Amino acid sequence: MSKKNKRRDIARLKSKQRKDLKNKRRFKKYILSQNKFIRRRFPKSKRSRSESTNSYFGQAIEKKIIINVPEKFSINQDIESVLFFVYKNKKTVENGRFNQFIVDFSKVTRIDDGAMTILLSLFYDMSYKRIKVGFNNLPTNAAAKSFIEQSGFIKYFTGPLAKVKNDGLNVTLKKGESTILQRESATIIHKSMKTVMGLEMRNQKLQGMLIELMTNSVNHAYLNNEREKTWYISTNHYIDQNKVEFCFVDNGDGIINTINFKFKDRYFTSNEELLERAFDGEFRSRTKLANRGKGLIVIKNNHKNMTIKGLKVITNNVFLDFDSSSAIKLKTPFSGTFYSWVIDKTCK
Amino acid sequence: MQIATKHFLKISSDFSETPGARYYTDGHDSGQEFYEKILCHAFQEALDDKAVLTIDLDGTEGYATSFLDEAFMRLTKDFGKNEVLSHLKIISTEEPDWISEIDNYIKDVE
Repeated sequence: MSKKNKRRDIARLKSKQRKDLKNKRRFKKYILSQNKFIRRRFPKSKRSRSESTNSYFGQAIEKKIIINVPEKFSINQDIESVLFFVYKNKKTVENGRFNQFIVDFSKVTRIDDGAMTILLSLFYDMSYKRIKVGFNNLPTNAAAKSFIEQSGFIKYFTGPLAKVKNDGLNVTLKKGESTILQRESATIIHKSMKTVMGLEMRNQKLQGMLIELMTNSVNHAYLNNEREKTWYISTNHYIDQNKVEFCFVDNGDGIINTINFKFKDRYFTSNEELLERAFDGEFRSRTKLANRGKGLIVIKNNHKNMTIKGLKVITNNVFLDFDSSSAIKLKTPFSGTFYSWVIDKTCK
Repeated sequence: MQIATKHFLKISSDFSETPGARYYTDGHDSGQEFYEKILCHAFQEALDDKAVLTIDLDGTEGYATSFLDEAFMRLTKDFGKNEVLSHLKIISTEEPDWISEIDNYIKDVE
């Protein structure tokens, strides 16, 4: 090798080393700026409860987060706090910062079927995003602890406490994906009728209503067709009272958003009015064909005819209570639709 | 016009005890499936024999509006309102409300 070539190689090597050094410094500076961002964005109390790592590109990925379920986690007693909890966690999932959620029930003093069904539907939907959900502590409050243990919701969680065996075989949670499962709903009804009437039997009107709910979720609830169209039915059997509480939930776009999407030109004074009119059959479905969109009318008629009792609906920013015929505007929106109702011996 | 015994259809035994929703895409035992596989042929036979097709709604787990609407709306569109009204009879003791409801579906077809 000539002297000239040797000199050229040395110069290239030095230049490469300088570049590498420059890149290293730039990378270090970037990491430091990211850490500053994390400190600013997340208060120390939160950071201490989550494990954080920096990826190769210096992007902050918080792996695990512990979420505390609010003290009053009950649709019947504090609907706003349930919806705020759901809203906040949906946003956390959308941010994509965490891949593991640990649910902590220790502070819970009040809890009910509706709130638990919404929570489970949220977590089951998270699994599509490959997010793991575990559950850490039972409530310290005796009544709330007893509810969770006896209701049987516990068996649908993973994590250390899921191994705690309970007597709660009361709750059945059924999940549907983009299809209507009328055979499964018939089975749910037979079991419910056994709790209410003492023997397994059909309830055609209730079956019709469940098919309508599933159809609405699959065909209308999701404006974005590429999303997974999931719905959930839960039944909680109160055997000593001959009563079964049903909850149905989908995490779609909600009835009000769906109607607004289609009837953009219509004017309503409020969303409460819009929802009430939807249950009165004011709107046809998005197909614009006659005789369609009767599902909501069937649901309302079933309440009117006493096939079911205590019908409540939450969708977008409205809570509709059919027993008191009241529609309440909510502070926190629920992007989806939730129904709950009861059947007992007084139902026809 | 006399009802011929062979022109009798019981949805629970001839089709499904758990009828579903409107289309094949909605899941099992849809109104579309019931119309295309059973009702359409049974009604054609009844027409050919100048008889009345009797459909018994009893014995199922329950119906969704979309199932009945799809089946009887398609029937009316394909065979005509007058033919359907004169050659079809719906019976039900368990859910008699459906008889008038189906009648409305047929009459609403333009």
